[in-house]
Amino acid sequence: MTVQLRLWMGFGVTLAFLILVTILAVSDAKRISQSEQWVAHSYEVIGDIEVLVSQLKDAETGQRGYLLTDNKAYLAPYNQAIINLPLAIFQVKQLTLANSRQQIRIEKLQKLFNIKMLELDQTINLHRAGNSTQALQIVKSNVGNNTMNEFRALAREMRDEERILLGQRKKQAFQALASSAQLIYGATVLTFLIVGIVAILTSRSISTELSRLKATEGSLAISNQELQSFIYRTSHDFKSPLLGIKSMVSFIEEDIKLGNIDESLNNIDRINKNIDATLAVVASTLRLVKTDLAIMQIETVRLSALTQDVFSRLEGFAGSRGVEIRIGKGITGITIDTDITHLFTIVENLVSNGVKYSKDGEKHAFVQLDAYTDINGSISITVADNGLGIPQKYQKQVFGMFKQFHRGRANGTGLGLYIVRKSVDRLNGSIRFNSSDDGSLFTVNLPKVHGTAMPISPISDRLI
Amino acid sequence: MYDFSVLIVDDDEVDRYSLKRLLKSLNYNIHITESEDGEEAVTFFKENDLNKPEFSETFPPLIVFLDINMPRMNGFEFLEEFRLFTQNKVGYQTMVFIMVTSSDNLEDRRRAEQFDVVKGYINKMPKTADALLACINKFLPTIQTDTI
Repeated sequence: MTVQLRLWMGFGVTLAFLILVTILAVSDAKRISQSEQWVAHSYEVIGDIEVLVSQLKDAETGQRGYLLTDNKAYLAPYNQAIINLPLAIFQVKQLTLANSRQQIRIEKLQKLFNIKMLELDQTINLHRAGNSTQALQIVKSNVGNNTMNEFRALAREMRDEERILLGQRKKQAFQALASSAQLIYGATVLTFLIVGIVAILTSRSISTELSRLKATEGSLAISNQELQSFIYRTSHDFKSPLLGIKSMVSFIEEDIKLGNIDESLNNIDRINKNIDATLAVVASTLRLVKTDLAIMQIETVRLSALTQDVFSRLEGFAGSRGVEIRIGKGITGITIDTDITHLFTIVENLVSNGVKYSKDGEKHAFVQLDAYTDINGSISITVADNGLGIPQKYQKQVFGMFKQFHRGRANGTGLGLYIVRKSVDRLNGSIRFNSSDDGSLFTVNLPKVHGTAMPISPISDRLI
Repeated sequence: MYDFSVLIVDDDEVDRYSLKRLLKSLNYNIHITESEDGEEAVTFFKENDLNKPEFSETFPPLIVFLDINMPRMNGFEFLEEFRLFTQNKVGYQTMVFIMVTSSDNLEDRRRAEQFDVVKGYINKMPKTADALLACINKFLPTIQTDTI
């Protein structure tokens, strides 16, 4: 995952969490306001019931005053009650629609109210008609008082019920507030936690990226050094045989003038050698540049076909040096998903080195190619020979640029094993060797499928 | 017998030949030894060391022509080896080293100058012969007086 992606992901996670917290807080706020509405509702119902009782009481008091004094002004509360009370009862009924018990009570309350109003109406009408005594008798009969008491009792019941509900609703409102506070505290803590984790992970991935960049910088410095040393040596290797040719030409001129034909011929021979040397430098330089620039093309390579190609390519050279190239049975059937150009370069260089550095006078000089599948599934290709071997003291430099350890071997540029190492690196493989006076064994270990992880070879460390 | 002796340390056969030809064109009787690289030169010195009875008038050489880029042991590595080898030894103080190289790298030149024994640094160029002669001549007067 790239650092950018990680950063965006960290930002996204934090943002998503913040959105979630906001949604929860909003729904909580709704819950709190609902509970509060219910509390207010309870207060409203209680208040309305109290108004009912007091207005009815006022109406009764008015009736009594009128009956006793015949003053019509006493009827004002009664007249108001006729208009207001049915409305007030209707309001309480509406407010308690959801509560069936209160609905039953309000029905009863309505009836009691009607009875009471009927009684008030009756007595007032009797009084108006001059039958004051009859009216007072009705009052004295306590019928109206009883109705009033029932009404009061019922109203109290209703109020009590509403008070109980109020208690419950207050409790709920308090709980809603408390849980909302908890949610906010919890969310704050969690937000800090998540932001902290995201910050740690982000900084970690940034520091990983930085150290990766530093490593790249380091390897760039190394390849830069290699490049400098490469330019230094190639310019030398190109120049020196050409300069030789130049001086040979002037010697030949001199000798021809003096008539030294034999010496001239010797020098022409030397010129030829220098031309060969220059060509070899050109060839291996090109190969090295190709190795560096080549675009990797991964395909399934049959090892037996590849080694056969190498064999055909080097057969003539090996024959001229009396070296036998043997192909082991292990090669058969092994395939590798890799870049064939690099693999060919590796195998060809190793085999041609084996041929080049064979022992003079060895009757059974050979280079043996073989391969096997490792326990971990990777492929090991081996190139063994009974040649000169690499002297112990040079073994650490084997894969360096321009390293040659044997004199008098034609066409050596000292780049062969360097190219091999580069190609092995490109194929994510490793290379190691054992070498003594009796010969050398090179082992190239490659992933079966390019791009899969490889175990780190302990030996490859000391090779670079 | 010989006026003086020289050692040529160079892996390039053509370069050795050119130098030999140049030396032969001088009016001296010069004993020439060749080494193909630093290691062979070290062996040459060890085998002919002054302390040994087989020391001859051809050893040690008056001038060593030393190439820089050589397989196995290069010119600088050889100079280090030579310094170690001649420590506390007498008889090598008169020796002179002339670097002969196709490298025109300044760093190489500076590195060479750090060795006291190195008295000349010549780039292998088409007109090297003149430079070489001029360089060699600087170290010949003593021999000339000897031989005349």
